[in-house]
Amino acid sequence: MMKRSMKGGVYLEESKVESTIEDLPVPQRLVIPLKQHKGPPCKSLLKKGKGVKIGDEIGKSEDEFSAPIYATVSGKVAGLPKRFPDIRGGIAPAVEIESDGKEEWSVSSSPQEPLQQSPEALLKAIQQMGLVDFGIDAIPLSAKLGLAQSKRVSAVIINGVDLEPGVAVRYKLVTEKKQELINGIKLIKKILNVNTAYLAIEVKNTTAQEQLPGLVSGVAELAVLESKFPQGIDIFLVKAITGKEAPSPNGVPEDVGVCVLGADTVIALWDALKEMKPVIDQVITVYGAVNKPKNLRVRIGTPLKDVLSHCGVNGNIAKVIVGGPMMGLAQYSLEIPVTKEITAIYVQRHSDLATISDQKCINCGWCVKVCPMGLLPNVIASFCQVDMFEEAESYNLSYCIECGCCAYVCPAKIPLVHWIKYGKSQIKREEQ
Amino acid sequence: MKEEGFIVSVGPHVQGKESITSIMLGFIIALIPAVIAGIYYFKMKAIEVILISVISAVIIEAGLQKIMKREVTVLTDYHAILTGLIFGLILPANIPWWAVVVGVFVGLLVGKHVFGGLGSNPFNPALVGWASLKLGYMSHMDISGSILGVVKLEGVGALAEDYSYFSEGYGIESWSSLGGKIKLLIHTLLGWKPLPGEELVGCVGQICALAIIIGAVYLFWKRYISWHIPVGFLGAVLIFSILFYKGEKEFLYPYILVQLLGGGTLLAAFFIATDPITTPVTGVGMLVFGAMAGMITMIGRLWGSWIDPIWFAILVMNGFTPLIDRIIKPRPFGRVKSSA
Repeated sequence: MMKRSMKGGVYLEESKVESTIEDLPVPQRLVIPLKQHKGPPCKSLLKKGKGVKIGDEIGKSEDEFSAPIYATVSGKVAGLPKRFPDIRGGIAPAVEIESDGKEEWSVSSSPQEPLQQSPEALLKAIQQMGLVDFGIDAIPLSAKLGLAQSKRVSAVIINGVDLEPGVAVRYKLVTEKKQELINGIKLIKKILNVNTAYLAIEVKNTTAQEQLPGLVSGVAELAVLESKFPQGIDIFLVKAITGKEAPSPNGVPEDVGVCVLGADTVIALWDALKEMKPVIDQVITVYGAVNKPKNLRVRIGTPLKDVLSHCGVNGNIAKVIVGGPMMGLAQYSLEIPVTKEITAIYVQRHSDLATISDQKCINCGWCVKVCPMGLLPNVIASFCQVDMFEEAESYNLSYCIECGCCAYVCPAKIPLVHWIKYGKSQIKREEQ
Repeated sequence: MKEEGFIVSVGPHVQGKESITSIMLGFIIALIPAVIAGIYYFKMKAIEVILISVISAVIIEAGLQKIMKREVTVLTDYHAILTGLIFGLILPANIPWWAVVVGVFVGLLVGKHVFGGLGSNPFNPALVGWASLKLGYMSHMDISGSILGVVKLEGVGALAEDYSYFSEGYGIESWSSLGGKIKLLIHTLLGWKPLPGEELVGCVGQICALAIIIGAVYLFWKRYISWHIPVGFLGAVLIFSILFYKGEKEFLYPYILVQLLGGGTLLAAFFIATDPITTPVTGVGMLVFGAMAGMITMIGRLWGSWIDPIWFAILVMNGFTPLIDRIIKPRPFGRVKSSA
């Protein structure tokens, strides 16, 4: 099978977490943030002390670009903090629920025939179920599909490539939930009214390459992609598979007539719609400096501390990163829960930390070679260091997606992403 | 599990293993075969030149960093050691010791520290040192006895004579046959021994092409150099030597061998023209850099008055590097042509 690849990028040594997905026990106390998606936060519908069941709607927003929040455990509301830390370093309201251990659902399962329904009905159901495209952006799925519809996309790519090196969520799901995946793809094709679908998998994923070809034929074309970072980012996936480039800066695949959805999202979509039950858990990879790296199915709202203690952490951890080693966000609190935005937790000891230096750029050009956006990170960063932001922008500062490949390879250990972020923030400030 | 004291910072949270130190060390390791070959051919003289060059580079670098009030990094970034090593390898073996020290001093001062130290130097310090000696002490820099010198001074006719002379020593009866061609290639790779009764002259590190190729393989394997500059450089040398060859057809093959494997061609292509600091950052830029350096080298070899202008060719191109980087930029992903 032909192996497709993007330009640039880096190969990390981080090996895939190969373990089968296992269920994490539901903790005593869960925290469910009312913002688990791009867009405005939901409003709480609950009062303290009220009893809830799984599937109860606990947060709602009138905004189109939002996804309702559902209770993921049965029990009673233990608190309604207004200012709970969110993974981006900000704050958002949340709901704390004390589990009663009964695992009662508020809705009885009602088998549906999603493939028989009309696209409009399906889209409405998706909005109602609070589905998002899993990942740090967590765009509400209904909004994403709506955009794809309005842009009249001609193809859909189901992304089975995990973004961050080592993460094995999609890697495992595409083979462990094959039937759900295929049904989900059929559903997406129906909603978007497209005939062309690709299922992107990594070349490392030999199990999928053995098991999937027969199953997906007629539904989607299997596209095998090189295992490198950041191949899993939508725009590079589109480029590698269809040859089309989303316009920079801030272009989305829909601009070139392609809709990209994570395989995990598609599977969750099918699971939710076949019984009209909201998504209450999701799969994450926990790895790095943990005793037992694992792929876990975690109830949404489980605090990071419960996830980490399940995997075993020895005393001194320095950094807890949600997302992954390259583009992940370092967290300061382990009270932060797993949300729809989190696909992985990466833990580092003090000895694993990346260092920076005040060495000068030696002009080696490695950052240029790995930059997937075709930029000159060395030039941009040195302009930002001396506050020459307009010049930095003339070298397309705003195109940068902050994937971190440049800073990863830099032999002088220059914090290139830091300088680029600084430059962007300063330009934003000047514009205001 | 402690609840406080987590570090928060922007990504990436991991880092590649390579550092400036490891790259410099990689180049030093890759030069070891060339050093060994130099010692094999020139014995004590090679050891002398290389040792003086490296030791004086370390001392002078430390002194300059102290005087300029910079951090003394001479034993942590290895750049001075590498500069000294390369400098020793491009010097004639019979150069007096004081000339080596002068060259190192000028190279490090004018070629590196007046510009602001490592990373800021537009020219390769070893080549700056070499140029200062070439201009200041021309008589000590004479390498006309090298094979390339024979080609240059005596023309291709002399080459034929010399080769037949060599061929007796190496048992190559005819180099129009395949066997003869292979033998000739092997001996050119290994390096020619001196003619009976004559002293071997030439540069310490340029004598054995094979040793340089072994080092280059290591550099490629470690990905410290990319193919662009060597291909551009050697390509230009090859094309020029074929296009402007005027001699008899049967001597074209040895002529090309000498141009590609003789003199400093390989050392330049893999170790000196590929110096990260003084070369362009983009692949296309590197290709242009290499091709133009090779072109200038060949123009000098064919029509110039010096035997091997290769180091000046690279110095000239070092000067053009900022211009190349300004003109040749990669195409940004998703760039939309604006109608305005």
